Amino acid sequence: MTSLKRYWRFWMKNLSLELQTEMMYKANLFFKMVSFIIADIISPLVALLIYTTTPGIPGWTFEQFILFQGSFILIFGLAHLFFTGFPAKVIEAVRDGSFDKYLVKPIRPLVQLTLSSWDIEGVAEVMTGLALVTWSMLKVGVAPPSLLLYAALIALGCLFIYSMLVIIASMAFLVVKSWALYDIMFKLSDFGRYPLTIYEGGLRFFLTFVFPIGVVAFYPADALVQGMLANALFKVVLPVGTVFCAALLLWRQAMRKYTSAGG
Amino acid sequence: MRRQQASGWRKGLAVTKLGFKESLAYKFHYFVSLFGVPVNVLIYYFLWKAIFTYSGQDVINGYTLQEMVTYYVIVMLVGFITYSQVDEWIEYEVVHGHMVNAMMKPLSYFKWHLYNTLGMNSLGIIIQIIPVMLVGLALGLKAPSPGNLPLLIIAITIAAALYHLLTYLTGLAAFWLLRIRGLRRSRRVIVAFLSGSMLPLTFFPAGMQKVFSFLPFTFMRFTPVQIYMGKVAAAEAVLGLCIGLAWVLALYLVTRWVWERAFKKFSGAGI
Repeated sequence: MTSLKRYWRFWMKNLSLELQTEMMYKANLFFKMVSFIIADIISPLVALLIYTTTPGIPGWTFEQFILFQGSFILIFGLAHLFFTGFPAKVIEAVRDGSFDKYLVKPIRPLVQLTLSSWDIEGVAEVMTGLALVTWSMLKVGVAPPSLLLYAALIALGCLFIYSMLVIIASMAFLVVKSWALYDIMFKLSDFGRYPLTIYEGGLRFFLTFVFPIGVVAFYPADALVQGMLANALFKVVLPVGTVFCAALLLWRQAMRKYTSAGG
Repeated sequence: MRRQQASGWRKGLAVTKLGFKESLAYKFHYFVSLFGVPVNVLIYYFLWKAIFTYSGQDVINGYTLQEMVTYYVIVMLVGFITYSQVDEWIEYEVVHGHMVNAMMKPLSYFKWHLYNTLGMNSLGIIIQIIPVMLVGLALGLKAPSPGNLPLLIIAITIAAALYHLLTYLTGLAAFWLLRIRGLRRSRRVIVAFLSGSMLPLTFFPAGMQKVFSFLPFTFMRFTPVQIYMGKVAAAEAVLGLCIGLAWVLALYLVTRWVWERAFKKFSGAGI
């Protein structure tokens, strides 16, 4: 319990540091926030244009599709706010030889890195995602108890992104240009911007079992629309749990292999 | 005795070469960005296939499914050719105090970055455009018809000029705001949306399309793509390019005006 309390205090301390840093360039912070809201609002706008000129995406009304997009934005927003930045720190630290500093502090390296990766810009994305989700939920009509399960599915989505980031961070110890994996992962995540049901054949298999972004972004909204949340939870827990365990194992392996460099 | 002062043209070429060499340091980055091409093509192919099948129509807002996918491929190609990240360089120079150095160069700041960007994009053409073009052609992308080629080259030049000027203007904001990551991102997304990178402009309401035909964004992506695909009549295309050219001049004048103010604002701090 004391260690949890310690983690919490460490996390909050880092939040205050992040806030102080961002306040250095207030205009930039403002534009960053606005830019994230603009960037996130554009995909629903594209959806609006598609739905006004065509019947839309099969199986999804406009409101349902906005719920889907809102969930995607919310998941990535939360990840951005809490931890997306941490592999960049690992890559940087491994490259310039300063990673050792994480090893000598009295908190596990991974916990330390994760809890010190606040990015306040994420607030803008979380707010946009929440606004879209709330609007569409009111339109679609959702029973309050299912919200809890929906929240669990969103949390699992974040856990999937976290696992991918742990894998990228681990790779920093093994290969040189591991930042490319960052770009590749985020590019692959774009598949999740549209419902899994539009993809066919091998691609669908890939997005379900190999890189389950399709599952992660798809089921929270789909389950809410179809009212099969418990079922969906099972479908998501398995792939995400597998990826998470694999990521942690890889990280352990990387930590063992690390012999310090740079000097 | 050789002349001390090289001609402007030679200086420009030297900076272009420099830009090319600089970009070689990032060649891996260019390769990685190529990864986005098949991902985008797959996403758009399946998205539009689903929409076309669902609607039961063969043509939506002037595009068949095949043309829709072609549209996105050409948008990406135009995007690679007209790429400019000069705003990022300007921000870097302002924040890290390299501006004095940059101002001492024997070339105006504007020209320096123009030639530098040209050099950097040359590598992009070798690494990105040629492979994408070849793969595209193998998969059934049509080459532009020879008759359209002169117009296409002019359209792409205008697109590149507009994109670079707008990016340069965004960069100058760093003189007042210092860090401009957020502003750069806003610029990128807004341009992508209004220039037709995400959706052909024919999907917008008719009134907005009218307005768009007078805005600079149209000429950054949509017009070159339409000319490539042979979707506009020559006369109409020429008229459009005249408006685009007028925007190039207008934005250039704005750039000069803002630069004068930025120069006055600049205090040389951080040297």
